Amino acid sequence: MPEMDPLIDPAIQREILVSRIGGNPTQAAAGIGAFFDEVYRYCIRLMTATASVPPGPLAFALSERGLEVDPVFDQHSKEFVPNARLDIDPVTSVPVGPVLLTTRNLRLAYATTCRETDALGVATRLRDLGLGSRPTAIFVPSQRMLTFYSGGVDQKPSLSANTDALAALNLEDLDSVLTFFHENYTRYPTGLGTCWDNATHRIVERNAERNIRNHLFIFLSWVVYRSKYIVREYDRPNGRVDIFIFGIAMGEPDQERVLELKVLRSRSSGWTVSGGKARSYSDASNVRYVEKGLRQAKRYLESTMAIEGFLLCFDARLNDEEISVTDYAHQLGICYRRYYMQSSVKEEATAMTASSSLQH
Amino acid sequence: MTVEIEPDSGSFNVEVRARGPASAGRTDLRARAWVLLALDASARNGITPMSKLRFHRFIYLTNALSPVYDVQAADERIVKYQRGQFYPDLQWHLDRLMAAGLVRIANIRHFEDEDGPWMEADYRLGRPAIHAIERLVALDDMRALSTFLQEVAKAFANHQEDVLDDLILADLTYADARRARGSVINFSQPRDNLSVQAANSFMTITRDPRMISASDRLYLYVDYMDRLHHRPLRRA
Repeated sequence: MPEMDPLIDPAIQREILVSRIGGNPTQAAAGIGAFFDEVYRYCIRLMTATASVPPGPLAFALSERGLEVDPVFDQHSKEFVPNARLDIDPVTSVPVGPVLLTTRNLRLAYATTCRETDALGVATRLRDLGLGSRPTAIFVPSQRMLTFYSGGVDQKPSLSANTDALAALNLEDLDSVLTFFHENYTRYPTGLGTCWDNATHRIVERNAERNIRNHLFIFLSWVVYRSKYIVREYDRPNGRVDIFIFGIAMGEPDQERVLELKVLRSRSSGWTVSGGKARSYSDASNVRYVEKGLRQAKRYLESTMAIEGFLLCFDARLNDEEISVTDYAHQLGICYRRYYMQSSVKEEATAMTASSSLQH
Repeated sequence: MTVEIEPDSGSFNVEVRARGPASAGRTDLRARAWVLLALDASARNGITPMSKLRFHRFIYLTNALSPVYDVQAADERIVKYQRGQFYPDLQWHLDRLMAAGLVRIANIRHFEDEDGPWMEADYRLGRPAIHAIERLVALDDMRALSTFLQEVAKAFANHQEDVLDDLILADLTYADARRARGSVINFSQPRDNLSVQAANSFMTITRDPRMISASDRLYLYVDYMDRLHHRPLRRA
């Protein structure tokens, strides 16, 4: 009996999955998020093509139903000129602008000029054209800043994203991405993460672990990798993985990674100088907690067949001292990382001076 | 009515067996809404005005892939026609929408070639259509349909302009060599809808099928057609 012709060529199928899925939209085409997502992707491509960086801001205003039935385009059609496609064509030159009226997928983009080419002038031009209430994204290349106005420039911005973060990061190196997260979110009380109840007394919030996990999830899925293939509380038969990174998010199918998070502390929430009901945690109990985390990460690594498992310990203990679990982590095959959370910038400077004196 | 149930068939299969293939008749208002919302989805994604040829091929793609989004197709049968996909009844609806001022027509061309006499034209939405579409999408069913059509339109529009017209000829259900020119392709049964089978098969090559969403399957399958289109077709 002759062999059945396969429905789909597995080689092509695999190649498409590997090469294209990372480029699939992360937002539903019918939502406003799809427009902002496309603008974000375009700006990243524009900044990567360094020779093409535009001198001033670019404004992307949404033509919701396409330009043919857009009253603003109809009224000012002579002032607009067509751009090359911004959705798929390689970025070889600065787009004509600075005001762009585009479809949601950026396939059609018509541009018009404005007299004052700074951000204020661009916003004024948008209002003059009657685009003040349209969903708009304004990109300022010199600051690598992209600002979204869901209700148009007449309203306050709804979200800002600094694309500089991506330009500085090697996205294939998860360790450096995690270090970047710590530097910006958890290292200092003034960082982007909310973790401390009282930083001076080194008391973290009751839900610090959950908060840091959520911060890290948003940082990885929305800021760095812009991928829905990063999951928090990933449900497995033997528990829930804090954060699970599917390989495709980092461009490597089937190369999954497990992140387990722990917050180490010396004092629990409610601790006061005069004592009180709240308890303190001994060094020994923190060591046990880290070891437990390592075993958890190991279980998740095995149950998900991931290629790497990390235990990330955000350290809010009184002193920045190593925990001797390196051999145990090595034995389990887990990457153990400890990130010390400073009470203030000053404290760190003092610690560094002390350390330097000791070395001399 | 007796419903034959295969051991592995789910409730969807039972329903399909019971009702027979969907067919867009001239009195079918849902089919007319489908035409209007498909043009709206195309306009939102920058691929209008749309030629008559591209319109029918795009409508076919939306019909073939509708099970991926659990949307009931407007028409589950099509004749394998010499000029590619074409729906006489949906053309009838398109013409009525034009007469009602909701759709605009331009560049009408009458010609005759090796396939016989034909008329071509470009279609786009008229401004009065906006109000009609807003009324339509106030209905849950129509909103779900609009969401699906916008997703297919975006996946389709994401390809180079010069391949868009012929891309859908590479669709696996339509290009299946077992179906001769002039025959009726009925893809109402899941086993006959090769397009959906191929789209869903992307789920089977990943470790966790949940990570390939319905929208991913659409984009990946349209990419697959594009790849087939660029190589000699084995099935055509």
